[in-house]
Amino acid sequence: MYARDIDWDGKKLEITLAVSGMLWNRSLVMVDAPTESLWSHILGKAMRGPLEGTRLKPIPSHMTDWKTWRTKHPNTTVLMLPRTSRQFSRRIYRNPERFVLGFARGSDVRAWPYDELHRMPIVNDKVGELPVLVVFASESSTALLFDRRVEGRTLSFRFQDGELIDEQTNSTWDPQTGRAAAGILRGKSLELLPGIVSFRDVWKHFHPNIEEYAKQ
Amino acid sequence: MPAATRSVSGESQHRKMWVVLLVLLGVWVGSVYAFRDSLVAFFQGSQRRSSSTVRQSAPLTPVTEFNPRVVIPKAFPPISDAPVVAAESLPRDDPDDGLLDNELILGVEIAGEARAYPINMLTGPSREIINDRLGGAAIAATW
Repeated sequence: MYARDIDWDGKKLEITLAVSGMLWNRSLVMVDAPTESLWSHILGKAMRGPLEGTRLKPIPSHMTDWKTWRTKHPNTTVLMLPRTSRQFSRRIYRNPERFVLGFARGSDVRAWPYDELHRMPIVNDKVGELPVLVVFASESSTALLFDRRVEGRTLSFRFQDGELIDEQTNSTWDPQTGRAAAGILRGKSLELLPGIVSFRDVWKHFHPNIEEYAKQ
Repeated sequence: MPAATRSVSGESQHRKMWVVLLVLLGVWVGSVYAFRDSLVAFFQGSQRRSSSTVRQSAPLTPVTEFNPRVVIPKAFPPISDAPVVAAESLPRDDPDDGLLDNELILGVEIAGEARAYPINMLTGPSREIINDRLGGAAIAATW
């Protein structure tokens, strides 16, 4: 999920993106109107053309199942186009080892394999210097990535009796929204970060030296 | 025009025209479907092949050089006004007129506005990018 407003030569430009028909290392290459620059989808960056070097701002979004999403967001709208596939059996659920949740910021990159995430509901981790929390719900194959800092303080979390709790204040947090529901920090929110669900090997080809999380 | 005054030859010419039109329509629909399936298969296959056969196939080029490969000679038209409906208007757990509860979606919330993009509607090169507007922001949902 990317923002389509970019800065170009000090001016604001809204671009429209299309599938170029080209692949780069099996990854989608996008083309924009009006400049016809070519963009790498996985890197979120213009690779050729007038906008070469421009980065798209990623917008936090996450993959989950419909029931989970509409329960959390009863007023949600939904895209309605004829289906192009009917993968109701959820390939991602049957072969989790083929997928990762990846995150890149600057030169710091980290990926969490889905089969590892199935073994634990949360991971307190770091991407470079950025403290992050991965929350995973195995029934819906939902992986969420949050920034663990709240008002200048870095929190660490545990999962206890089905609840997400921080060690520093014992406040209780909603794992779907990153909002504290009870405790001293009630009402505060963890910032949701734009993790990308990707095929594991495609991610590796773009970030060959990444550290993949593996439980010791 | 009352049926009694219509000539017999005029009526059968009319019918022949409809038959020809129907046959042409059938051929066109069939060819679009055939082409679409091979397109979808190519894009999905290229990603699927990558994990099960990566050891056997030739190594991918190192990711230093931007050398895209043309797979389909013409870019797809951008999608900008895709229809969007309110969740409450959809029948529950219905794969035909609605969504199944366990169907995977890409969810996003901006300025209090939430939208879901069902993955089953984003697969294939004609759908991988949806240009949209949500909560006042211009966004691209991509898959």
